[in-house]
Amino acid sequence: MSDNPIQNFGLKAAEFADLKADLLRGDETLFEHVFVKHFDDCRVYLIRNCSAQADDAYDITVETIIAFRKRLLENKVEYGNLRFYFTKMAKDSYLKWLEKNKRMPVSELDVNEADHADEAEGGFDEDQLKVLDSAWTKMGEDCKNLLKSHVYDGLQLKIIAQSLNEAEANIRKRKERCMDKLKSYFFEIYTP
Amino acid sequence: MKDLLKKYQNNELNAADTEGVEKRLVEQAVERELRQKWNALLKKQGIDRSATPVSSAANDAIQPTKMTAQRSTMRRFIMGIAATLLLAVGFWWWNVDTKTALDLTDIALKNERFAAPSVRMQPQNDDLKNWADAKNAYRDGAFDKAVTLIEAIPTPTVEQQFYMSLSYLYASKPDYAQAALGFKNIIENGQGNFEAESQWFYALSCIKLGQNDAAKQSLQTLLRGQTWKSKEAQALLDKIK
Repeated sequence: MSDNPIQNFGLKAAEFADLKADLLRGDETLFEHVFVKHFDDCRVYLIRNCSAQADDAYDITVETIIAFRKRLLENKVEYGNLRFYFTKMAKDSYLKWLEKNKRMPVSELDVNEADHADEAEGGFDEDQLKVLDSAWTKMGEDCKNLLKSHVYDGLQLKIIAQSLNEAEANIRKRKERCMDKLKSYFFEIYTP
Repeated sequence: MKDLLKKYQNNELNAADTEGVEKRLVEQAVERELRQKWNALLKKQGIDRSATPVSSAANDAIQPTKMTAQRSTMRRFIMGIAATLLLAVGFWWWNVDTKTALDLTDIALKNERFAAPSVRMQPQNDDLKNWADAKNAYRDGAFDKAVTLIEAIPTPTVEQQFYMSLSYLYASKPDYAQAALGFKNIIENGQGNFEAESQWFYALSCIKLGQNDAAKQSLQTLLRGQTWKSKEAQALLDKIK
């Protein structure tokens, strides 16, 4: 069977390709629609299969959606059995979280599949993260979108320039100015 | 990190390290913003962080012990008698002509469970083990567990998809939309396997979803084959407006 919507969040192969293409263009509407609709499926899975608490299952599902979105943008996810892949990511993420917070034996972790879980919030402490939140909030939407698209989503400047109908050199300069702005806002408040 | 940030502030890092710090700053900022965005989105949809989205079926994963196995055998025996009585009542009820299509659908779903597949061999790998466990779960009426186990099979067969769809239908909190999607997929792509059965259960799912036109079409297709469930299909068809 080429199309198997039941295992792929109700999506046919062509619809999944559309979802990925939309994400690459910065349109998250379909992605959000699909994952809001299936959010509780994943929570139920974590509660039933990992005995997770409802609020922990909620947090892990949000984290998994974010990690899954990133994998989609990196073209690391293929159509086939998306539900299985997604719930496996969620389960591994939950086990890793348990290990970190409740000292569960590492032997229960599936190390090969756990690479999506983050490392202690990127190595920043809570104070640094609060300052970062504040600095990020002060940035304009254009700057935030540009940095998000290029640095986080990994889109090439050339592609971003094409979508904005501008020269790549201009976008490169703008990106540098945005990064300088973030740095200056961050160190306005934070003193290492 | 503190030292690294200090060097970054004073432009003392080389190009690669500078890029690394900037990437981490942006990644953290974006992920935190995405979390906020998703929390707001879910809240707007009425999804509450602390509410439990699941019924008591959360206990499905309990491993059987000798005692529970004995209880399970006894329970199956009692359930068998109860099912026979229900079938008899259902047969009588089915033949009383005052029922709506929805009544007949409820009767069909409650009184008649599609037979479980048999376990013929020792599982040789994880997929087969999942399938064997899923069959046992289905047989024991643990339909939520059956769904989870079959979902874990990366490339399920038509038979496995059929039982997954049935499990959605029979679950304590039935998911008629997922069941309908599964049966429809089998009808369209199953190359004839489980086709008549899927037409029947697809029709039942559609009636539960209020999609009477789709149900009607499916029942008519089933009747054209003039085989399994033709009497019940005709009775349902007569009731659909």
